[in-house]
Amino acid sequence: MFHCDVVDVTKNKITLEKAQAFIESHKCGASLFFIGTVRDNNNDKTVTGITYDSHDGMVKKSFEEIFGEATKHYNCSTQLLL
Amino acid sequence: MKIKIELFGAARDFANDNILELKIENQTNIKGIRENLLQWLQKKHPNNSTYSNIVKNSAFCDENNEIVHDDYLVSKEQKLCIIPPIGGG
Repeated sequence: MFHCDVVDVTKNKITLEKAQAFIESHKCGASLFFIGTVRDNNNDKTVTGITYDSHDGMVKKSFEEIFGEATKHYNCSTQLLL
Repeated sequence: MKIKIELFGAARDFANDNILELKIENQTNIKGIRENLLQWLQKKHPNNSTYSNIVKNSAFCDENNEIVHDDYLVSKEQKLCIIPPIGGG
């Protein structure tokens, strides 16, 4: 049976509404979201669980670099929500 | 010198703590760290090809959150992180 555990309840869940309210801008227009659901199968095998892990320092640094590059390239004041 | 390796993702299974310590005789590079880690694994988890493949295919990063490649010199005690390949979901 497919199951899911939230192992860190100290982090606030980001809702689409909150994300949209944060990034929306009349100067830029578009808002783009990536959302999804964990599949219950992978390469013909049953998925019984999934874990996420991240190196927070590297993630933040990489996102800031991408954000900086995009802001510079598109000459647009945007916001980044991590 | 002592090199601490912080474990992420699938590499967390290497040890009970999320960090392990390697004792290195002389200065080395990431390639050498990789070899040392493989030797450490061979002692702790003999012939575990899953673990050794993780080490062979992982990236490493330094204390400044920079990815460091195989030729990166490791000449002083420091902490490195092992970042295994990312899986999809």
